[in-house]
Amino acid sequence: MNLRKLIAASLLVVVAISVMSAHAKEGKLPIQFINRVRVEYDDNINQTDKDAKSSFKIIEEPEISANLNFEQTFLSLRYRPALVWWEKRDSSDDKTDIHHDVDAIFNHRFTPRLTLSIQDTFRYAERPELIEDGTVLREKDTFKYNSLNGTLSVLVRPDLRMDLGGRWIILRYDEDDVAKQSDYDQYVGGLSVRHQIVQNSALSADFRYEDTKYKDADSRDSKSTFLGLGLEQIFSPNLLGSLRAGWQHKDYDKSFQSKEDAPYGEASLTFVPSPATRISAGASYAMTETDVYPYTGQNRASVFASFAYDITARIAWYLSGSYGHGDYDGQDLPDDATVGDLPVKQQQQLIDQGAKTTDTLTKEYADSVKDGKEKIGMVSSRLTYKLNRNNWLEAGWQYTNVDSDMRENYERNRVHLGWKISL
Amino acid sequence: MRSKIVLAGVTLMLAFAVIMPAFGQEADAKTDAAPAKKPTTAAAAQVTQAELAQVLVEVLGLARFLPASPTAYETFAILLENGVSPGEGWKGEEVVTRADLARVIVEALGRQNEVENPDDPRSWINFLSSIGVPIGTVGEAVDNLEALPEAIAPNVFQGSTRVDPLVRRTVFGEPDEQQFGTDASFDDAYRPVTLAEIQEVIVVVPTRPRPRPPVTDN
Repeated sequence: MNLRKLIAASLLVVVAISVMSAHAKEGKLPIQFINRVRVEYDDNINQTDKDAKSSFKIIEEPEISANLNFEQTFLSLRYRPALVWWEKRDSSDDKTDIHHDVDAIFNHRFTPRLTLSIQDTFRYAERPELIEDGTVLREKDTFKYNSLNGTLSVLVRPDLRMDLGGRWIILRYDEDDVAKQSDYDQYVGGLSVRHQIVQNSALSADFRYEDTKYKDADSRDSKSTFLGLGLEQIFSPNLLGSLRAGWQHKDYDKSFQSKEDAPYGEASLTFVPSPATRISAGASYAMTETDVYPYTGQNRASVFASFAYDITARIAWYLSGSYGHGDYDGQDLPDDATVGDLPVKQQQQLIDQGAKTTDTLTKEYADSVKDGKEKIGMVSSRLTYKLNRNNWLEAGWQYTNVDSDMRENYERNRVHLGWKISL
Repeated sequence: MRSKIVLAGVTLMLAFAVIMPAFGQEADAKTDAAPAKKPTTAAAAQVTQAELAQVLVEVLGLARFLPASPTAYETFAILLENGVSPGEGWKGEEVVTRADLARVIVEALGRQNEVENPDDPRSWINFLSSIGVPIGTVGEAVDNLEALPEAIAPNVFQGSTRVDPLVRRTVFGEPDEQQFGTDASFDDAYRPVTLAEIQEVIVVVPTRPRPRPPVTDN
């Protein structure tokens, strides 16, 4: 698809949305249409350390959503496709990507004390193969992702609630080479008991069981059990906080270590010092999954903060930041992996010590690559101007910094100007 | 093991559904008087703030940023982030007054700057009357609301830092970025495959030559 077709498609979408919105308002349909267009400059489109390449992008995102609210049932549907046109893309014939996001919520209240909530999130992302100078920069990693989440809540007493929840996640890549490493199914089950101690304080006890099964890379499979306590506290009308902490036990199918135990915890605060200023912040630590193949997991600490400030009734400023620190232990490597499976930096480290890529990982090798670290920092800032009740203009900047012992470091800046219309 | 967990889950669900109605008369008495889901006939004063908050996150399109069946605390936090709160803050078990309802409806409409005297609760009620929004019942009032076009959802940003596997958000980089939110939601640590990672594959996957056009005699 070329730029003209993209622009024509965008205009058609806007016109169609306007017509549909007019009809929706006449008939009072519970449907909302939003259209977003933005022009973005990206200074490192391939996320590389050296020879970074830049490109302009045009991103068109129409969104249609419907919220249906009945006496005992709430139903919400949202569909947001995204069309991205790249000014420069390395030797790829297709300069346009199309992504699809679908979200659905179904809440039903059987009795005043028994509620069922189901949420589904579907993502389809087109990420075409990139080839430059005869080298494959990226395999085609178009993927489908679905997360189905259900919770049955029982109000045992006015101050005591029990939640029985389950979740099923599916990730599937189109390209075989990528799918073999990363396709997985994840099953989660959990039970929470929450007691409202006093009006502003609630204590909860949580149990979770998580089973991660890779479709082909079964050496990355793991099972985790979580047991912990949580506290939610309303300190004042404008200050809320929550704390969760507990113990996590993880069993690996084929790692050098068969199990691992560690504490986990997370805390968050929401603070609204004035009606125009909203602040939220938090921190967490846990053993989690990772996208660094062939590792089965990482110990990850992260902090985040976000700030929103209404400068005037029409102008708002938003600032967000996060920092994550992942620790990778060589003992979390699968015992059937080879040196060639390792991330490129660690692989080079072993090759320098005389190993070959075809060598099976021994415990000695695993010991010598332990304590890998990956630090990821990100900042995002955005300024919006409300033209009227339906239109917004905005300017934004996003910065990412990846500093890794295992894969390529990079920095990336993105600046955009955009227009959003809500109908 | 998984089948046992599923079986246990289904059994528990059935047990809850069958046994629980026999318990908690106190809860019944309270919640029957104040249905949480969009009460259409109950007066504002019969609904608790926790129930109002649940209705608001659904109507304002914030539910998708929250876990299935969120706690009252979670609904209060996201509403507060979006500038929607009764004058004295959220207090879950307190019943909603007309003044509380008027205030949160005006804030949800994003028109709080048009209220003449924000310190006077009657001013919020009068403003709603002036624009033709009834607040006789919660149901009538929320019928005038629609999803927030500029929803602030730090929960999205926070999602990938959550520990709980039932609510932890998996984020996928570019296709999943919500650059129009304040969330800046993508988090490389949870991205399934990055370009850098694929570049690692180059080492083990033979380099593929660039396709060349066929050579002809001409």
